Amino acid sequence: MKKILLFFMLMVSLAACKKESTDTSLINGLWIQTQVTEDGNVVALQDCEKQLKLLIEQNGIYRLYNPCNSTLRYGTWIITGDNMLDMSLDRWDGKSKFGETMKYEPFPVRFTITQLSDNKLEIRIKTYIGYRKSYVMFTPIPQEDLSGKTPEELLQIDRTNKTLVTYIYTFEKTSQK
Amino acid sequence: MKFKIILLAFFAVFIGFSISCKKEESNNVESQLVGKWKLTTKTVDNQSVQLTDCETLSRMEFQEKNLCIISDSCAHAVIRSGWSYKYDMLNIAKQLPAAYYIISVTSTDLQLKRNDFSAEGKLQVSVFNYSKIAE
Repeated sequence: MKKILLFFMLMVSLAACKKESTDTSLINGLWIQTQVTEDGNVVALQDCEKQLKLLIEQNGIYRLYNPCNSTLRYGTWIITGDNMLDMSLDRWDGKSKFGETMKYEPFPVRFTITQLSDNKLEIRIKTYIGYRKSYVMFTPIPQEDLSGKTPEELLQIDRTNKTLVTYIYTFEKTSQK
Repeated sequence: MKFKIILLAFFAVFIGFSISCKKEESNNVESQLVGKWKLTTKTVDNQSVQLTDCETLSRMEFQEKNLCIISDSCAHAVIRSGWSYKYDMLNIAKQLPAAYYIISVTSTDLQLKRNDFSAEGKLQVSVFNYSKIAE
């Protein structure tokens, strides 16, 4: 009898020791982008960027509506290790140039979830400026016009593109349609 | 000793039931989906929408080996697609990225909900009601 009681007490204490984990199902829903920071500095968003909508559904598919250019993009998502959000984002194909219609291909990107509650989502990524420019994260940035640049200017652009920056994207959940 | 064995056996059975119940529920939904369905009513953002003649003639058939055949009278097309029921959502490959939430399914009626973005970027919630067509 004493041994059985000891066994149960051990099971209960082991269960209690389990790390409290975030309810990742909170990520499902419609989110609106409210803020972007680069190395802690708030980026000035256009009015339309503040209406960017991210619909995350429980089947692992998200849809991204950008009101700045009325485009709808989509991809897959999964949360691993409790705080890693892996998404497939559109990435510039590397061929279409400045002034042409940009072409994109899906590519996996990993964010760290720094905050997830029933009304706020905050995700972080540390990456090169050049990579950030090539992804639709979550608004596209036009590729640079390199025509007519001097070698020194091209070198400076290259150095800038190889700078590491921490980006933090903040979204608020909305029932707004 | 006997008591310990009984306790362990009970624990094992309890764990077994917990795991198999969820899988059984999923299989039950899938088996009820199998069949041919016709759209009877539709609402968008809780507003009833009049179905067109071609929508009432269209059919959606779920087959057992995850094959879906959509006879779209409006587009004059027969669309063959894969389908799956995962994470409590009905996914029809040719209609992705939009997928359906199953509100209810019985042997005769099916109610699905779907989120779509309108051209202006507003999220619209559509609810589709289907009746099963007897074989």
